[in-house]
Amino acid sequence: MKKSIMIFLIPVLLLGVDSLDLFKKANNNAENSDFLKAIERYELLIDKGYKNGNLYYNLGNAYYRTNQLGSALWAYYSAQRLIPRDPDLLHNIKVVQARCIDRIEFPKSIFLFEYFLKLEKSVRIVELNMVGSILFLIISLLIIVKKTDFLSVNIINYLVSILVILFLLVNGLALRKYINENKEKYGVVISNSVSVFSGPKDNQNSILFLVNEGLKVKLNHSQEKWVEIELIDGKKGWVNILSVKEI
Amino acid sequence: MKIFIKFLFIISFGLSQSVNISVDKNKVSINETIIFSIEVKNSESFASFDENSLKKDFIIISGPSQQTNIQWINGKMTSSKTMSWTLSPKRLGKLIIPSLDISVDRKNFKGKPIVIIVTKSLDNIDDSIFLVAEIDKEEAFLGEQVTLTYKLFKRVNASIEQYKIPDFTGFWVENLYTPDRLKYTNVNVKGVNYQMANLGQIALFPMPSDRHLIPSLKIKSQIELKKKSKRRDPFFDPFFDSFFSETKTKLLISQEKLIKIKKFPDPRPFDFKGAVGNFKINSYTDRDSTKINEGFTFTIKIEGTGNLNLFTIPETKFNKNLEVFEPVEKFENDIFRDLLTGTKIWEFILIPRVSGSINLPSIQFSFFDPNKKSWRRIKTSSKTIVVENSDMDQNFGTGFTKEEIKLIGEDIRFFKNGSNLSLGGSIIQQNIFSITLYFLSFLFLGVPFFIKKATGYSLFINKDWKKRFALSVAKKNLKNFKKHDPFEVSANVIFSYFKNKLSLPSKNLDPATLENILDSYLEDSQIKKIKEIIRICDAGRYSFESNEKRKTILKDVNDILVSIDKDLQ
Repeated sequence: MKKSIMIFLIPVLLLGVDSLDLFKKANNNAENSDFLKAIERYELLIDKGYKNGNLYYNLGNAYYRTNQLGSALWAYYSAQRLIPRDPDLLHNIKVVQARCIDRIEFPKSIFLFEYFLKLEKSVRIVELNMVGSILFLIISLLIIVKKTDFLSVNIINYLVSILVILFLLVNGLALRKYINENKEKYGVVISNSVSVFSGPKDNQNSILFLVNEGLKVKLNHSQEKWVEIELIDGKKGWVNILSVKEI
Repeated sequence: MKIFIKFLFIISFGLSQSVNISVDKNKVSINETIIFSIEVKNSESFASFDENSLKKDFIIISGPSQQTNIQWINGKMTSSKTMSWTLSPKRLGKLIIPSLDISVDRKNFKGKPIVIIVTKSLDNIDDSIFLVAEIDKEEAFLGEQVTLTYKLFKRVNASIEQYKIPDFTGFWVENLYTPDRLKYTNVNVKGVNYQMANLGQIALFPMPSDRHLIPSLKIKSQIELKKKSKRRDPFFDPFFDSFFSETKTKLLISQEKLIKIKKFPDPRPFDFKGAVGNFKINSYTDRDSTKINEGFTFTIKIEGTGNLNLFTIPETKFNKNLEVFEPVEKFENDIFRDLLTGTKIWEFILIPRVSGSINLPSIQFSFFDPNKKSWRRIKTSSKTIVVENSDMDQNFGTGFTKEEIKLIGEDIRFFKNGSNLSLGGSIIQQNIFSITLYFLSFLFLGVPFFIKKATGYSLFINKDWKKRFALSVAKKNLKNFKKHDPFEVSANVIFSYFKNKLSLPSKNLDPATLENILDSYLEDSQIKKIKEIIRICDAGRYSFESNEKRKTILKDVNDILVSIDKDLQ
């Protein structure tokens, strides 16, 4: 029995050791300014299925050093899903964004909604789920206490209703985030002066507008080598699939 | 001598209603009118019938006009309602107003047909007033202007009623002149002096159609005739003539005209879009240079004389780096020497999407010149517009906020040397903490139900909990009395203890009831002790009698409750 477990575990452990080693090697490459080699190793790890905020952060840094602003932002945005409150990451995103040509800004919305968007950006679904489950645990304990009449009934009712509202809000936010991240695909333009066509062919369709690297776009649907992009101001068009990288 | 023949058909001799159908005369000349009327007596409404049956042989000039009469004769009231139409015969000969189905007050009546004999002109006033439709040409090319003028000639006192210019099928019509009021000028026609007025001038442009007929214009006129006096009478002196002159209604009809369409000479140019006349073409832009994504206007202007509204320019193909919006079309006309001249403008909004020199095409256009009877082709010269890069394309030029300029000066933060590297894991693995907590919560909520099912003991029923913890709750309340009156606290604690321990209703619990209840649980000595302590509490609350007990009462209550609690288990 023990043997079979060991046999099952060894490759997993080896893989882990191997990958950590690879990550360290890549970091060393980066420290020694061999950014291309570092990029290659980081991407190898990502291909293996590693989802780590620091990994994406370092990859972003390496891209930035090789002057690939679009790819750097793509890596940072991917890291942001995993370590959304990391101050270094937030700083680097700002620095790279300032160097990009295209900047489409959201129209200013009301204060509360902006605060909500900031909050949404700074938390992960897993964290929201944790908060939700803690709230649920407290609610169930309170219900039990209420049934046994140990505490004053009014206070418990009051507390339970507040907690239920909080629980619904937290889960609603988690659901919204889940839909945003999984149902809607986003990408980053990774080369400069990309022509956006009116249809998925370059010779028959007219050029609608141009986009430059670093621009975050929504990916609607793809057709062969083409993908339809949508900018935050609502403009739509088709670009070659190689000129955008999906987050 | 005027003949007034009135046909009277009394259709119905019902209780009181009757219908009369009549005409004012049954013999008319072709350019005279008749008045056709339907009179109903003692009805609530006017007669109604299908007017189309009249239109076969007659033109309805005006009507129906309505008239109501009420008469009182020897205290008896009669009323009549009359509708009348002015009709003009369409042809010579024997015309028939057919038998009409008339309905009055939801009753149906049927009339008899009336015969009208139409003759050529009966009198000699035909040339005293007449209408002429003048056209400048009888043969025209498709799209070539034919100018039509209606003129009224008269040499008698006459007035004309309101008239309507007929519809011209097969032509595109442009109004050149409509008089506000008639202005007469003196002219001489074949040695006779007439007064002539222009009734309107219209430009007609033949369109492809199987018939190009200019229909006749019909106008009703009132001609003043001098009455000839038969005897000399001081009262009928010529001085009074104007008072006694008589008027005659005459329908003036202009002649119909047929326009013959001439064929265009062959070969027809490939880019001919129907333009006929004499035109000039021009194209221009509103600026010589622009920037990427900044729109400019490209205008094509055609001006001249001809059928400007009947053709379009050939489709224009622009450079594929230009985004083209649908053109705005404008047309301004101007009447010059009876010819329709004007300007037609197409305004294109173009937006360049790449930088460099962009060529704007030459616009070519063919038309037929009817004066020279030949084809002509005109074109504009091609143009070049210089497109510069937009400001946004010049890196770090303008459009940066202070914060962004500061950020450009900064570098990114350094690489992170993580010591652990985890695989993403499935959704379940990532959320294992939350899943555990949810599981625990459901367990907490579910356990009491399982316990009740297994042991019958309900954690959720207050009674059981209250029973079990009655003493500890009482002790706790005695300890925490704070600054309240100890007697009041003691009494409350005693009553609430028994309420919890014996699951008693909270209402109507007084010492007597309590004693009765405790009878079955406790020995007499214990009941006595309780009664005594309740008495002491009451006395202490309302008088100074038990004042010496104030300090010990709480401890006494505690002791008694502890002692009886064992017996109540």
